[in-house]
Amino acid sequence: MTTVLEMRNISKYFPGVIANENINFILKKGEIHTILGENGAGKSTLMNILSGLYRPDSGHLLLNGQNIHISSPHDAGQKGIGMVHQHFRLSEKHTAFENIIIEYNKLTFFPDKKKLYKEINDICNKFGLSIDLHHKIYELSIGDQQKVEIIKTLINDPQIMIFDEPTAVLSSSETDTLFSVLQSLKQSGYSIIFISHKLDEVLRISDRITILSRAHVIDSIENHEVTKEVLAEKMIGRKIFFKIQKDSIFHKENIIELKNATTYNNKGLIAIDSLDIEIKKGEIFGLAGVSGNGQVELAEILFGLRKMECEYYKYNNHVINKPSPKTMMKLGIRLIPSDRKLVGSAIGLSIPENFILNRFKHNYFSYRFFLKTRNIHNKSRESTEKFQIKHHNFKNPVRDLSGGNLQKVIVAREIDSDPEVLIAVYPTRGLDIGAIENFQRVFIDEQKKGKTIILISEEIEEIMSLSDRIGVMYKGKILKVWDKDKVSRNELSLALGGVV
Amino acid sequence: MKRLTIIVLIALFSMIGCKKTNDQFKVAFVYVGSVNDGGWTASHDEGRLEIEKMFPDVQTSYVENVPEGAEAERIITTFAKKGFNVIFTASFGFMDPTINVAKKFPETVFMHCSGYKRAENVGTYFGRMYQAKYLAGIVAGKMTVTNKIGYIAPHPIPEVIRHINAFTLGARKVNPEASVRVIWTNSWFDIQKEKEAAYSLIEVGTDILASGCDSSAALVVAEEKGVKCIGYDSDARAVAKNTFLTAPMWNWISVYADIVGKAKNKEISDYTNVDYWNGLETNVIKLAPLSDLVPQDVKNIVTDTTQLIIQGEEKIFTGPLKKQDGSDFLSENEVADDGTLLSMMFFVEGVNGVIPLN
Amino acid sequence: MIIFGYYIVLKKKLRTSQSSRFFALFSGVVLSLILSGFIFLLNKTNPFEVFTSSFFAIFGSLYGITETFLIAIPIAACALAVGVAAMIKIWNIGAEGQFVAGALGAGISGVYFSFLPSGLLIPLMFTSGILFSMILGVIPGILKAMLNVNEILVTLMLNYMATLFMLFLLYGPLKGLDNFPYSKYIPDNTFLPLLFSSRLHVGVFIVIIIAIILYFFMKKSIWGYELRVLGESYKAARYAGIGVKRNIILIMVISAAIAGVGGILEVIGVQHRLQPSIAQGYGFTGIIVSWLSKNNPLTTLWVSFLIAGLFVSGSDMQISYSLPTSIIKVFQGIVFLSILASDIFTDYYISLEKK
Repeated sequence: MTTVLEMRNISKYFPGVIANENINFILKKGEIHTILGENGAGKSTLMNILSGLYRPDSGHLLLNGQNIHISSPHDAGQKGIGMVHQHFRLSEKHTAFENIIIEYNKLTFFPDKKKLYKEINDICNKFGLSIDLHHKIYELSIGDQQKVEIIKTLINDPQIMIFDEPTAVLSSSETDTLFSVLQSLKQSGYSIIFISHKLDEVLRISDRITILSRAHVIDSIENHEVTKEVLAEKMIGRKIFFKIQKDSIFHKENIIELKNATTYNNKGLIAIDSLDIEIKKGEIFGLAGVSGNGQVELAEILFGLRKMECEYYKYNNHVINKPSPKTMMKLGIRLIPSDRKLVGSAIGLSIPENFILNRFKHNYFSYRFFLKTRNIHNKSRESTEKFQIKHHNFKNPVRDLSGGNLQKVIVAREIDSDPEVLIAVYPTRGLDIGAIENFQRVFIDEQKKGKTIILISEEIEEIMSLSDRIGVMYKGKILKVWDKDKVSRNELSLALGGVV
Repeated sequence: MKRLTIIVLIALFSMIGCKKTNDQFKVAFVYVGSVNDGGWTASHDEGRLEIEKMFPDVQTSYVENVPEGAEAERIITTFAKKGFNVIFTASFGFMDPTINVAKKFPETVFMHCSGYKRAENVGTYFGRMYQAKYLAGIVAGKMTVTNKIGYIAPHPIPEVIRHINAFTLGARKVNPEASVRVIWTNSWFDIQKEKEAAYSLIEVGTDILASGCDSSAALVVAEEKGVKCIGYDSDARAVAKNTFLTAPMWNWISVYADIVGKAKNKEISDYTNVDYWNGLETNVIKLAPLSDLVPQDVKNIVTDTTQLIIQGEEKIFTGPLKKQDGSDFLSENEVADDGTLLSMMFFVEGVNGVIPLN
Repeated sequence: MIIFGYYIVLKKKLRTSQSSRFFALFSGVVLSLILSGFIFLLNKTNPFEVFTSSFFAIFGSLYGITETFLIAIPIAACALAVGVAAMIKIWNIGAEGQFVAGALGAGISGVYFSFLPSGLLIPLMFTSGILFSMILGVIPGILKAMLNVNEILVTLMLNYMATLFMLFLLYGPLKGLDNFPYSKYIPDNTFLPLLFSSRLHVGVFIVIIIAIILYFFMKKSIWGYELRVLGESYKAARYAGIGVKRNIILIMVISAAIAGVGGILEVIGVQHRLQPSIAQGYGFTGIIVSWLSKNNPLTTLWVSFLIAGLFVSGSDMQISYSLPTSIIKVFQGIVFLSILASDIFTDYYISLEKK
């Protein structure tokens, strides 16, 4: 196989940070080449160099053996490098078709829409990207939106396609579809760079795997030469235990009882439909479900963030009349929200400031009108060390942190607040296995201290290994609740689709 | 790069050194409007330009569009600080700022237009515009068919009321049936309001529009609606070719030349009693040449009346006159003195309108 | 972009500080001087002479400095008002109206209660001015918090209401001497003390103190912290148990009161009476200043001073070079545009990279 792209000794430094150092990387024609690494290992920087957002401080880029410079994302597109971004760059109020043609390099002022439509349709059919081009973006599912992103890249006929953590936002069936698309792209001769930190997926799809850790290339291996355990060790730098050992604990006493609750989502549609739920004191209650079935809303009504109607909402057998975050936090119920950037943190503020986000009125952090800056700093220094939060400067806004580190700040804060009940929504989403393992240990430790945890997750593995009881949400209702050892993985998978 | 910076800096600072140091006699003008407003401010600026021609050794400067109030005070102060010898402040609203600044600069001569406060170094100047308004009134009275004449007035202050009254007296002298409808804009210069006023005056059936405001907006409307019109401040017949009759106008050069000449030679030591208030005889006010729409007999009346006023044989505010409410103003042959004119806060008979009082 | 074999690249700064703010502004000023220089050349005036002369008009004498400070007071008050609200993403376009309301409150009580001793009258003028302006703040605040009515529209409309209401009063019951739309003067003994025998009054300290208090509160107080969280995300605030509605109303009221203080100072410090031209667009200038100073109250102070300098130099250019106002307006427009455009250099810097 011929080499399409070569990166030689690429280095990139940001003030105070080594992002990439002496990176060597070879992409062959028609292969799917994975770049694997933890959050903050330097994957994104490397891809941004390739897509023209950053310029390397040293090193060379060779495209088909030719030395090239990429001056901008547009230039990258011209040279045949297309990128499918993790965060979609789509205009919500325009149709898929409009979003696609606006990216078309050869777009004229008065485009021949019929011809373009046919061309795009051909691309769709060829690679199995079936979507309705006339739908507006907000009407499409996340998976379909990603297809639009892919078509956007394909229409300019690239040689190399970069997929930046494409599965992070997808459900498992959507991931399957994506992988079949990737396979057919590969068959057609496209060279693909696939970025991920999910080991199972990586092993499923890639031909070659290059592992990045702390700004350096650790190894570059053929897929068939390697196992999950080896990959993980190379990536994290230590051994990982994939099975969390945990004894099931069963309790009788209810800590939370919610009867006949109904609420609406942001679009005004019913999100939770006369739902009943009981949480036992001291358990980890795992709530599984395909996203969009009301799990997030359930967490929000339990925490008092969202208005609801219900017969009663009891905590420790006391009826809560007006649930609000304030009252819930007083009672000892805390939430790790699913949206860590808009809800869980104030991204323009520093780590210490985020560390007191929902407890700044605590005696330790403030007195009457003023904050106790020294205490706040001490406490957050303690926690950043305990949770190994990587940061450049304490005072920098947390938006500079990687997603995983930001999540660590949030989880650290909530755990440190010593809650009685912790509602954790997708706590490990987008994190690398090292961090996931840490979090799972933290949750188990909390349970050992007698705390109750409601774990909402889309990862069946996670739910199954942590929970004492497992519930499945489907269309705004709890479909069924099982004791952990009375349900199989298969049964759960079926239940996610509404089959009991 | 560094060298370039140094060179630029040196060049910059040597410029300061180069600046002309002159001991020329300097005269400043502070205007409330824009020098090309085709009205009040333009008439003053014509005077300024004339001064530059007449006195080659006099340097003049001006600032236009100066808001009345604290801003004006700063600009007048800056002029005084820069060593200007005479400062003309050409709006009624500059009165208090002028007085305030004058206290701090006893060496500078201040001349305030249209006000009544004076001091050792503050004089006032104005003109008997009501005489020209009277002549314009005669034209309007003769030319109206509906006997309704419209008058767009700025602020309800004695000066303006005096003008309206004189205009009305002129109209009713030649046409006792005529009445003058007044609309206030509450602004010296506001094109939009003047237009609106013009439209509403035409709507109530006036067939001649007279403007007392600074812009030519009313004339534009008159031309559009085909209604005859009388301008103010300057000869703006160009904007109303088919409807323009005449315009009472200012001609400040005689006043400015006199003041600048005297101030240069330091002829006046105390300005407390310096108050220029002349009429048709000095040419500080005049009537723009009557247009071809005006018949010869009317032209003759205007010419004759002008002569009578200049010779002092005809006084405009002469009894018997009644106020708007029907009470007596002046008895038979009684002539209003200047004090009465300067504090006139009522309309005479024949004016259709209200003075908004405190 | 490539020039002489170098790439010109915009890079994000790691930290933005007061000094980077200053240099961004400075580069904007330089850019505007170059651009407007051509306009002065077209008008056959030596631009260097104009610029140096206006520079000295502002900084060259105590008089220039005090006059600049004097104009900076109302601008800073309005900018602080806009900035406080913008802190939590509330866009208060109504500083102009609130400024007028403050002036109105002070003016009305000053005129009608002129018989009171100054020790009573001055506090009365301040309280009524602040109350008047607060009314203009509480209306958009409640509408926004309770009904989610766009505060931009409400505050914008209230500007006209406040100004027209003032005109109504000035042409009616408040009309003073000469039948001109001016109120009577407030009593002499209520005039604020002047500094350096100039027109600059002690109100300048009031504005500086307000800015310092705001800065301190934002950094150190619980309430300031709540506001900073709100400024990041209302959802995060709700999650953190911070009262969103309460704070929106509160901040609108405080914002309006600060603008109102500007109006009060203008009446008792400078004009000593009410008149139609009392606000002169300070409220709108304040929006630009607050934007340029990124809502930092201390930055607001010196940015206000620079913008005030722009106005002072504008009239100096007219006086010294007889430039028409239209040219001055163009010049000021160029300066505003350039410094707004160069604002990018606060957060980014240009770097040249070899090919």
